[in-house]
Amino acid sequence: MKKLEKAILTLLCVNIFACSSISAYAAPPTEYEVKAAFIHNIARYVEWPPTPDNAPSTMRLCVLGENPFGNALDILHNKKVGNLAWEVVPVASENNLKKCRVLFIAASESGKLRQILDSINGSAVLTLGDVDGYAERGVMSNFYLEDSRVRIEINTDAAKRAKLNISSQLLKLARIVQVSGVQESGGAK
Amino acid sequence: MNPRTLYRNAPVKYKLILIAVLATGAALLFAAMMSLVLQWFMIRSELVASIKSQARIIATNSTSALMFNDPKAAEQTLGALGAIDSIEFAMIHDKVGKTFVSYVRPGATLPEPHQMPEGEGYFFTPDRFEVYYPIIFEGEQIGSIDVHTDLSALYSEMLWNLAMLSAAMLGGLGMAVVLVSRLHAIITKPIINLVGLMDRVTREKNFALRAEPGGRDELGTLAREFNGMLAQIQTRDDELEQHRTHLKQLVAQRTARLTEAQRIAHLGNWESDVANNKMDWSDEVYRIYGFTPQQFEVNYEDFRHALHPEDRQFVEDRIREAQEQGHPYSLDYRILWADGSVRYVHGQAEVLRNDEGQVVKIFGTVQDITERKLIDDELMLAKQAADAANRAKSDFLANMSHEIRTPMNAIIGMTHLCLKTELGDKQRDYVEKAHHSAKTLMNIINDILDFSKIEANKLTLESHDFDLRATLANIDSMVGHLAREKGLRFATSIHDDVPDFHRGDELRLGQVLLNLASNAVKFTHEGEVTLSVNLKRAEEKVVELEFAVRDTGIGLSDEQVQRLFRPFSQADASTTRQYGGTGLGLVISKQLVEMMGGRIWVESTPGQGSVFRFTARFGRGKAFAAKAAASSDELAAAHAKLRGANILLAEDNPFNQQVAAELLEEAGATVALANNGREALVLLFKERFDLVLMDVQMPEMDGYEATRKIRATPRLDGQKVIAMTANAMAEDRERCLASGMDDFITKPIDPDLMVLLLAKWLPERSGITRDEKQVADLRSGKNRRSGGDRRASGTRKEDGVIDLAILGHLVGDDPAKVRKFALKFLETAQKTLDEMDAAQSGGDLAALGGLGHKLKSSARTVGAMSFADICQSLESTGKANDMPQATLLLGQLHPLLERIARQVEQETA
Repeated sequence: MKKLEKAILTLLCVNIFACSSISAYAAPPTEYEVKAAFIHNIARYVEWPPTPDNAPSTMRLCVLGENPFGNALDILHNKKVGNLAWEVVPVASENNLKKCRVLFIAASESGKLRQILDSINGSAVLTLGDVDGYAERGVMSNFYLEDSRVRIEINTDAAKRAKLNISSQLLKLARIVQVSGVQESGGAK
Repeated sequence: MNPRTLYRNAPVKYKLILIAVLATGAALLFAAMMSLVLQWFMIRSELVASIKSQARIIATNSTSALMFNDPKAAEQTLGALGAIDSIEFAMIHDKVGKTFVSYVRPGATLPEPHQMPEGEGYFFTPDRFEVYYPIIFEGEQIGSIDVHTDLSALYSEMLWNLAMLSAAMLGGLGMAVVLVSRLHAIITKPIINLVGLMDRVTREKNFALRAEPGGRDELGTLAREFNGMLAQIQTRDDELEQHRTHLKQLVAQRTARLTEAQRIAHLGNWESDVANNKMDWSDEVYRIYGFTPQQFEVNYEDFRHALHPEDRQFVEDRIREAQEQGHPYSLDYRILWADGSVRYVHGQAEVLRNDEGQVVKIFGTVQDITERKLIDDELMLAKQAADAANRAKSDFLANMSHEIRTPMNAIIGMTHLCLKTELGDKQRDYVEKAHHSAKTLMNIINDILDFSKIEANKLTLESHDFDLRATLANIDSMVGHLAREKGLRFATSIHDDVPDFHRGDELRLGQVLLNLASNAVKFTHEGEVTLSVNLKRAEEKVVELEFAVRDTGIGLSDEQVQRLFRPFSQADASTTRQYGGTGLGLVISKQLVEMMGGRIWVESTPGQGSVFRFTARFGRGKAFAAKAAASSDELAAAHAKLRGANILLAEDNPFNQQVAAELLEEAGATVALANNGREALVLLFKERFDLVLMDVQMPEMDGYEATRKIRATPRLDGQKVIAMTANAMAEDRERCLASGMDDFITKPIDPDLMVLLLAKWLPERSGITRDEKQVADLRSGKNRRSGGDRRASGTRKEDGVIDLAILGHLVGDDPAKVRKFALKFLETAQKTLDEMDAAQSGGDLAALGGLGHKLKSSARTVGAMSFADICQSLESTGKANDMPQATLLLGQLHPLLERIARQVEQETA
């Protein structure tokens, strides 16, 4: 009797588990959906320098160039980092990029990266990208794929220059790219 | 065996060990258990804390891995748990609960998947401990960690601890045992020493031993107390020993005394065991039974053999009764000694019963009473002799009464008759004096006899109706003239309250009154004597009277008064000489008064007179016909009644025959004579008699038997029979009445009394009425008799061997008759003397005595007084069995008879 009861219970649990898995993963997240989630998570591990007199009212995510996310960034809707809600803004290179808190630099802007980075030099803007070599070229955090999993590489020098503090928790997971002094030397590492 | 008993009997050492083990064990066990429990909780909480912190660390460290979906990093973090052996399994779930990464200790089996509770916590299963912890980033739960810890390590650690503790406990116990078994001696040794000492004391009875006191603890106290006890016991023991010695001495002393007492008293004690017949005798019992003390062990058979054969059965019966019924006994019996001598003993015994009531022992005493018995026997003989002597005295008294009354009868009768004849003044004076003296003598004799009877408690009172006034008149007539002769006034008075008729003994009352009155007259020289009667108390059936006799005589002193009512004492000895009398009158009066329920006393002043008072109680009497006429009238009537009566006189003594016959004939009766009862019967069958006057003592057939025969004969129905007897005792009278006689007259016969008595019993005959003239004659005759005291008496008789005057009086002074009777006496006497000689030579003293008796009576009647005296002596001698004396006396009779014959011849010629 007890055995039977246990068996039924076990069976029931397994089913519930299976169901929930099925519902959760009915549509497996796309690459950009994952990247969108990662953007949110990275923002949470980063500490911006305090700006008491000019405090931001939103967590502005500026997407520079051709937006690869489609509507994947919609997941940021209603999410907050600290007490700042996300604000996704498409921008162009001519715009004052210093007003962005997070700047995703799309692959289309690879050619103008230098100028883009210089324009925001010294500002506390977290730069993101998903192009190979971006980190070595001075983008703070760059997505790359490994075994078809989205991974992150971080240019800690760039973050330091922007006076952004990235949590060691994130650093521990990411590939660290260091180019200070000798370019690309850290990237090889 | 019962553990409790086992424990109780175990030595103290083991008890101590047991106590130590139990105490130590209990303490250690408690400590160990507490320790184990504490350890358990400590280890567990440590485990919980440690695993929880691990889980927390991993949760923190795997946050980013979970957030950036980096299972590898998470796996590395989780892999750190491999450092802790007990963690067999850990798992990180993502926020939807899906397993993100897991860690499994090598070799461990995965648990079945199960849903974890929300939040943070832990729980235990029997073999596992699970901790769950949420993985939170910035307030958002992004997953959870779940760590399973294998408890076997915990258990084995606890087991190890348990083992260690157990070992420690055992070690502790062992140490306790070792310590106690080494150290128990501290406690037990003094005890064992004490026990040893007690054992020694018990074995050696040596109370002088002492225990080592030791310290001041309880054991030391015990030893000291024990020593104290020993000391006390020793003291007691010494005292006991002293007592015992003293008691021994005492017992020895007492035993010696008892033995001595038994020896002196000739009294021994014994015990007999019923079961085995064994006896235990004291020394004296041996001696009493004729043995040497403790000569042998006795049993019942020895005892039995010692008994006199004639008493054996009796004694054995008593002993058997004692054995079987438990009766104690007390009896006298005899013992026959080996030498044939007989001892008398008094034995007493009682029994001892056991609890069931059976007799188990008989114990008793035996006393040699031989000496006492011999004395008793002597006493018995002496008493028998005394009784015989007493009987002889009584007989003698009765005989004397008879013997005295017979001659007195003759004297009074003869003088009475004589006074009726023509006499000279001088002669009459003599005869009257003789008559008076005879009556006085008769009174004295009666007094003595009365006194004897009173002494012997043989006097009984009559009870019949009487008229008190008549009684007093009688006294007046008897005493009054004496008083007047002395020139005294004499008066009687009866108070009006006093009834006339009473019931009692008139004669005895009269006797008392007469005694007092005549005494008063006797002791009074001038003045008066008065007799008064008062009613003292009147009850329904009884009247108490008080009589007083008052005189103006010499009176009495107090001393005299005190002696007055004692026997044989008058006021003083000189009184006896002066006034005469036996001194018995008042004693008898006192006795009589007391018999009448009263008392007597005297009030007196010497020289002024006395008052004798007495009280007496009488029944209420019935009134009867005026019999209380003057006695002279009564007498006259009696004479008248007697006249013409036909009377048979049965009397063996010829002289008494004659006296009675002449008295009766003088009264006018016709008299027929019979010499004995048989002759009387013959005459009665032939002829009818108005009355029979019957002597009780007659030869051939006595008066009693004759009367019985008369009463047995229907033809003689209603025949009046009056007894005559010289025996004045009351029983004689009863005997007379018992044989059927109507009444009784005492010899010597008082003529008036006889006439009155006969008249009472004679039937009324027609044609005979009271003849006044005859009454007058009689009265004058009586007066003449009582008053004519100054007549000259006849010639004085010569002194001689025979006084024929006596015979003369009997036969009416007829010389022819005197001669005839005298010659007849001589003839009879001679014949009797011859028979006496024959009896004497034949050695028949009894016959000789009998003949003496017969001859004596005849001799007296004819006046041969000295001859009669010798005959009487001869009679006594015959009774006393004294032949020499009898021969001597008989030898005197022959010459005396010859002298009598000569005198008769001279005087009657």
